[in-house]
Amino acid sequence: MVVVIFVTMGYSFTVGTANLTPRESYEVLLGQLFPDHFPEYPPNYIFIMMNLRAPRVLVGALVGAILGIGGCIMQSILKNPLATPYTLGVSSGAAVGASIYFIFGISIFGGHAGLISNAFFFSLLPVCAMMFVLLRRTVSAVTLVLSGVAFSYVFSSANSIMQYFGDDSAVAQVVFWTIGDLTSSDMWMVPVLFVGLVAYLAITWYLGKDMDIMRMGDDTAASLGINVNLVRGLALVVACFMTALAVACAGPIGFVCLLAPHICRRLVGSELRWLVPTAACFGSILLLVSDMIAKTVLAPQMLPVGAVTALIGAPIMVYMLYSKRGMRS
Amino acid sequence: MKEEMVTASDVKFSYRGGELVLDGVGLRVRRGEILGILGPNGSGKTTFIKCLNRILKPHQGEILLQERNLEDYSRKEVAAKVGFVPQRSDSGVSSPMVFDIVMMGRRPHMTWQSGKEDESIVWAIMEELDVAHLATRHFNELSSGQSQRVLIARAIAQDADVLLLDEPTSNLDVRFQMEVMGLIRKIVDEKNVCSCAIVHDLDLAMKYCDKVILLNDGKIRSAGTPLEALTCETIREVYGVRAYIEELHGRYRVLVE
Ligand SMILES: Nc1ncnc2c1ncn2[C@@H]1O[C@H](COP(=O)(O)OP(=O)(O)OP(=O)(O)O)[C@@H](O)[C@H]1O
Ligand SMILES: [Mg+2]
Repeated sequence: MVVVIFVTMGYSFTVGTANLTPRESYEVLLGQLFPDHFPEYPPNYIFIMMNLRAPRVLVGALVGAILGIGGCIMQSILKNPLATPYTLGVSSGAAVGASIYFIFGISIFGGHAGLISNAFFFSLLPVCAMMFVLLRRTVSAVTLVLSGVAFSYVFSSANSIMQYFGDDSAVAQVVFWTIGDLTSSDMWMVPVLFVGLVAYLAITWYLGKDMDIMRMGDDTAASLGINVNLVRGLALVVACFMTALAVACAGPIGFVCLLAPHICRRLVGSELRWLVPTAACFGSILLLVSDMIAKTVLAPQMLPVGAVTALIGAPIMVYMLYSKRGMRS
Repeated sequence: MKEEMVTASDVKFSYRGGELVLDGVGLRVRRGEILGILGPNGSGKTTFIKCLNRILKPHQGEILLQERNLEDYSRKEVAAKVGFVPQRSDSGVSSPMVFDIVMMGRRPHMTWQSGKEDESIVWAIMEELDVAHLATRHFNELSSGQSQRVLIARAIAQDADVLLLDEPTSNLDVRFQMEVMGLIRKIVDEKNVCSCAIVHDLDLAMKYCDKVILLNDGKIRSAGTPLEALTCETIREVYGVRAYIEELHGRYRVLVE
């Protein structure tokens, strides 16, 4: 699967609206790393590769992986096949942050990082609130799902109200942002997301066995020496944090969280230690393929990748739900 | 006198500010003993057994595990000493495989990864409970009796000194009721451990338990050997049915009218 990712990534680099041949694309890229060995290319080629294509592909791959993992964790922790970090209000929170930025021009950090910091901050609000409760007492999975859904509703009505008063172009921007898109990818996001992803994988590997046991019920897990509340809280916070990071970079891209775990469960079973890395790979591939389709179908017009993942993802999802009978769990 | 494994006295508990579910109950189990906990539905049996492995914390009263206060143990120490089979086990989205479930019992004894030794222990126990042929099946595809046996196998794999069993025989057919109780008896005798089991079947309690406690409304109605504690009067008082204790082929049976 890792190989598939790299092949897809490799191919994605060469796809775009500008007319660069694949050979030129790679020579520009490698030329940045090893300046001596490759011919000089005009600055606009370099600009296209380094500022448009490369970040897009790399951020896409990382965001896809992060979203895929988030889905696995949430479905397992919340014991709900439809749960994703979005269920807990991460995406609707981010949308509120984005609305505040676009419509009122208010942001936590000024300038370039305004949108990203706003989305990030607001998407963490619900999970912070939940954490606050979890620290005091035990909360069941059902209660968590319901309170997450309640949060989402609060956020989306807040959003509607803001959009009602906002001016047209700002509202259009909000709507565009909430579809999810990779065009605002930037090179600085790559190391941040990458470090985050590595830490994320390590933490889920560490918690994976305990989370697997917790699927047998909280009492069972507790009787085997697991601090149920701690594991659940930690997993929720880490998953929401990382998803918030991904959403802040690329917008709330739909369906990757939901689809990747379900498909990968058929491939490798439901043990989290194997499911999580597989879902990460699958999420990456799904997002990269969607992005390529987004770039090419209506070229030179680019579609927002969020719309494409949902367009591809939804039918697969529906198909899976209906063909579930007779299938192993 | 054998070592006292679990001693509970004057335990009081209520769920989130509700009325008292346990009102001053206690028990004492020594090595090599099976203690049966009996009582009608809703009398607090499950609640009591969960207090014994600290899933629930009693508001009052003292629970000693090997003469040391249960509160003073770490999570992992409790898990290594006390095994638990819950009354119900739900598994969410997609359930794990049988082998993995039994392997979960080894968690309190592992540092990081399960080793070859853990695997052979698990296989041996699965053979013994006749679930080895189900090893690669998913838990939610099992019949309730099969899943019951898997959960018991997990508790035994835990290699605990105290086995807490919440209705271990409730879903089993006649043969497996006998076999499971017989197996628990065997493990308790051979490994010199002890067990607290919630049993509904009065005959099984008569046959396999060394001691019983009879709960009613969160209080202990009677305690002692099965013959002492389960009499016509106590059974009538607690369950509201008329019953006779008869001796048949050297065993005592409870006949309910
Ligand atoms: N999680 C809970 N929250 C509130 N009340 C509870 C909870 N669990 C049990 N109870 C109540 O506590 C009382 C004792 O319940 P418990 O489960 O201990 O009964 P039990 O003796 O195990 O019954 P059964 O034979 O049906 O298993 C009941 O009145 C029940 O309604
Ligand atoms: Mg019960």
